[in-house]
Amino acid sequence: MILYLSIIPLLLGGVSLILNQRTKITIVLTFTSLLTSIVILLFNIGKNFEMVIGNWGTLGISIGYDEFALPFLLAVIVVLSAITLNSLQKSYDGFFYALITLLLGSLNAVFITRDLFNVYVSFELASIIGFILIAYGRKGKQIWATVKYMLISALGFNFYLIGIGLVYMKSGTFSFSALDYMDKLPAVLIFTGLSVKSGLFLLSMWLPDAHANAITEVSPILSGLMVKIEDYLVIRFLQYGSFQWLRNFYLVIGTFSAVAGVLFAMNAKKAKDVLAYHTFSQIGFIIAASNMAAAWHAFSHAVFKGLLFMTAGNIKERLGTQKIQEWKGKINIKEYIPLLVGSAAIMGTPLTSGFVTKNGIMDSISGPAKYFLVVASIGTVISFSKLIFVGVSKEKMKLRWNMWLAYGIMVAAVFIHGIIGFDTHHTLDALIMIATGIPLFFMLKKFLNPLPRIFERLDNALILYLLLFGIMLTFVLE
Amino acid sequence: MISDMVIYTSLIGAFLGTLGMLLTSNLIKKILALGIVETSVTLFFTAISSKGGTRAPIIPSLPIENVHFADPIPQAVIITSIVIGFAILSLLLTFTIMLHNRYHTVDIDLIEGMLEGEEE
Repeated sequence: MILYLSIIPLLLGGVSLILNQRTKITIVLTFTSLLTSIVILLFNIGKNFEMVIGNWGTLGISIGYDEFALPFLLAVIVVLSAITLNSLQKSYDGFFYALITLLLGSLNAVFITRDLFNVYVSFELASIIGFILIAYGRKGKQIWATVKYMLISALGFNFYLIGIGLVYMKSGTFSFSALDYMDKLPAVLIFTGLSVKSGLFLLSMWLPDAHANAITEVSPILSGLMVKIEDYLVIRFLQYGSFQWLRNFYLVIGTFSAVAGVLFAMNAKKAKDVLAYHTFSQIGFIIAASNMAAAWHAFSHAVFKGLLFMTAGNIKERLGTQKIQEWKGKINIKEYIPLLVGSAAIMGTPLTSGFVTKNGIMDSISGPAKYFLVVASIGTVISFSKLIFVGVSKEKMKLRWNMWLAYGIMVAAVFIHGIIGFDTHHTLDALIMIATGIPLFFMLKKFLNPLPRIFERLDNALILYLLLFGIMLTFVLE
Repeated sequence: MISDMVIYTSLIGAFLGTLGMLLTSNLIKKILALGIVETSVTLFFTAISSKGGTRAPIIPSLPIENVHFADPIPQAVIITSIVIGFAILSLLLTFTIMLHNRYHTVDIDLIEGMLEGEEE
């Protein structure tokens, strides 16, 4: 049953690829596969099982479903529905919708599989679709961002393959359960191999370029869904014995990423750059905690960051620029409200989803890391004040129904999640953080200038990644 | 043992390929170095499958005699990764052609320099 979550979209995606000349049919097929995913997910909520396909024993591919997968599967459905709605009436061809349908299938496959090699196949399928989507606009910057992303991530995935080869050599199976009794070396290879796509600062420096330059509909997918795959796998693998010792490392690198990402974002001037750097910081929060609260933060981050990227992309398409300076006084109220809701959620304002999940993460972390995360939260408020105080124009603007619906789905998801999970005991902390952040923004405004992007050059990104890989290997030698 | 030797050889190959990706600024050569890493990983999996023996895993006659077959699972699995590696390499080369058409060079330092000056 749960298997159809990935088989139906993949099948319909294949059909859409053949029929890509008929855009309407491909759109219908995309919505059909989204609807079937919702129905299958509804049937499985609350269950917890693991099974093997076919009668092959430990050699078969094991799949399963439990509460850890739910936030991620929900995020896939919400983000993909919203961006598909947003893309209607924008002259995308059938090929685009075929890719979206295939992406839905491969993302669902990653989140239900319990087989190391199957993770590789479905993750790579999702990534290859991602590569094509980033370069979809065929601009020089987009193509270069894709090439950078591909070279680094393909190298990382070879390390992952060596890691699972070692697992197979010792246990004779690719099932996740083999990870219970492995040495440190396969764990390091598997983590660093996948972390190249995780969106952690230092490990995936290709990210700002790719996320900021992709077209409107693709940035939400990249930031909301593609980087979440590795977060899901980090959280999942922590359940197995051989990854437990990495937990402290996750705390350190996650906190570092949270602070460094905010530092770059505060200084950035272009809207999509700000959002891309904030991906570093929010992924840092998720990896630092790596528990159930973090899984739900992945969901809320996918939704509000998707909303922000989509709104920023639509404004950029209308005004022709993404410099926040030039947006002043030109933004319509209908675009400002989604922007405000998204910013409020990422700041952790009460009654939004960001508040609920960020508090969950803060509660589960103790020690000095907590102070750094508070600093990162205040930095988030400072950098999003840029978007909040952008100034609204009085001009009338007609918003098409599909955009209403796209914004509506995401705004509703932010508020429903925020109201269901609302809890008064951190309200004051959140309000204090916002109250300190906004005055700080007006004080620091003059000193904020874009930081050099030297780490994001291909060679430097590669060296940083390999350096961190080397440091991880020294843990094994001890 | 031959399979251990092959494992070490393949790891050295992966290391050299990684070094190659770092040391050249030519995009095509970087992609070729990536190809070396991918081939080394394929060799690594082949070496794993030959741990128990090197005979092709085909049963000639029943009942099965106790001969040393190679393990077919890593071989079956690595075929998928060869296909994926091929897809990645060809996509990379396609993008390289598109970049070359636009900037008339495959040197990454030159391309990055030109892109930094380019406004959107």
